[in-house]
Amino acid sequence: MTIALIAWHVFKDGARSRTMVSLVGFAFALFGVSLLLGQLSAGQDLKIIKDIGLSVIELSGVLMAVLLGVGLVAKEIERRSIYALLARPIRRADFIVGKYLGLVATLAMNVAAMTVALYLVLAYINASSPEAVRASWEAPALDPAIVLASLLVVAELAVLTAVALFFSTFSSSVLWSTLFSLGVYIAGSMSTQLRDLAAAVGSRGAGTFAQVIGVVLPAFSAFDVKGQVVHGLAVPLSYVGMTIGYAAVYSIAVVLAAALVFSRRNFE
Amino acid sequence: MTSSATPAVSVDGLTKDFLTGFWRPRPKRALDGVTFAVPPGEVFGLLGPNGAGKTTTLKLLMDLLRPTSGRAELFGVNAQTHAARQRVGFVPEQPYFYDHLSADELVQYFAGLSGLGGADRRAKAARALDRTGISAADRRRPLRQFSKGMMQRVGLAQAVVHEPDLIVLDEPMSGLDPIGRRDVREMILALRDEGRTILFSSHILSDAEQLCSRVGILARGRLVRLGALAELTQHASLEAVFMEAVQ
Repeated sequence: MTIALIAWHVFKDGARSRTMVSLVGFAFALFGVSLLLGQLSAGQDLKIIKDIGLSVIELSGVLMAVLLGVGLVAKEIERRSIYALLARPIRRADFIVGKYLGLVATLAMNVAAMTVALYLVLAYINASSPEAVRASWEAPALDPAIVLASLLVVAELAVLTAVALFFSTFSSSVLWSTLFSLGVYIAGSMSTQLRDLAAAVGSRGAGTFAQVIGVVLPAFSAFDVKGQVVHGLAVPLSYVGMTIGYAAVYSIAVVLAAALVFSRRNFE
Repeated sequence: MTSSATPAVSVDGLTKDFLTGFWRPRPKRALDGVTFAVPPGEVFGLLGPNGAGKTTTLKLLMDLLRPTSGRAELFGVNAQTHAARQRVGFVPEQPYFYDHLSADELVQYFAGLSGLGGADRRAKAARALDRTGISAADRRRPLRQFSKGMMQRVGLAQAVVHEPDLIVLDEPMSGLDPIGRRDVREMILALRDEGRTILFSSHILSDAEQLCSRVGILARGRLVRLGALAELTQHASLEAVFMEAVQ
């Protein structure tokens, strides 16, 4: 009950936060831009709209996960509300898990809303395009694979939220937590390149280092199936399932580490 | 089950060191072997100048800090367990909560965190807001519109919503105007009259004189005086006793 209550509180907080409202507004504005750009590029409009649409969903989600994620604990400490909260008969680990689940639920709701908005834009394009144009598309406008891409974005955000939460449990600076989380996101997005670098590099030490970093960092590149969806290539369900499983295992490990750090923390 | 003889608060040899310095952290003793007990139903004042260790003691009791050595218990239960805080309400110094929540939402949230649910949660939240004098109109306003005095009332409301046996207040009069101080004093006295145990920290001696049955005086992390207020002030004023103890 405690975890659910804390999660619900985070959800309400997120829904009312200016950061969230601004980013969702920004995302919807970009959908409009994608519609305009699509109309300017004859024959490529559907691909451009899908590409920009999915990128916007991912980028706004990443910014929300980091900006709200690092604040989950840091802001409670900054505004001293943590003192009254932890004086309640609650376990610190429950507090962390509740915070995490609340933000992931908020992000999932936003991704769902933006996915629906993207489908509405695509439905408009579909209805307003002649049959001959529709026949030339590599994938249908209302391609169900978009849902799979959005599901993987949610899984990616779940991992990133866990990382941001982890940093915020021991750093008292929101700025540093934000920079670290974004750093992990950028490096994790290049995890494939890091592993390739490990194979290609001449120095054994540097190669081992690149390999370890490539394995330890979350493999964010694995969640990106935009290319396949835009070009109508198949996204196997088994791949989606395995990637979501990877996200679940990685997130649980990081949230447990965050709970462990937070449980030992002194609030001076 | 705890017997009536079990102290509401028991602190034994409580010591806390903080590490200071970035490159070569060194321990700095903030609390040094503090021992005292507060029996149920008592109003106990933890007095001392700024930096004496009052807030550190209360944070150790609330498990916000972990002791370097020594032991703290609430109703006979180790203060480091979450179960120890079941019968406790805590008002931090100059409490601050969530800007976007209303007083009603906040108090209900804290009631929920104490295990209250459904109609019971709503009823007890309304009662806590009633007794802290927050009007029906004010309790629906977002907290960002509240003054310091109003926020202190909300802090008290969240602390008493689950009707705890022990209420711990850190500098409850800090930053309040005379009316706010009088109101908080009256609320503390009303809680005492209900038989609840009150432990509060303060450096305002007049508040202690009006509220406490016993006091402890901290100076530089050590408990330098402990006893019934009447006994301590038998031959001198509390101010004189305080000044002598802390210098």
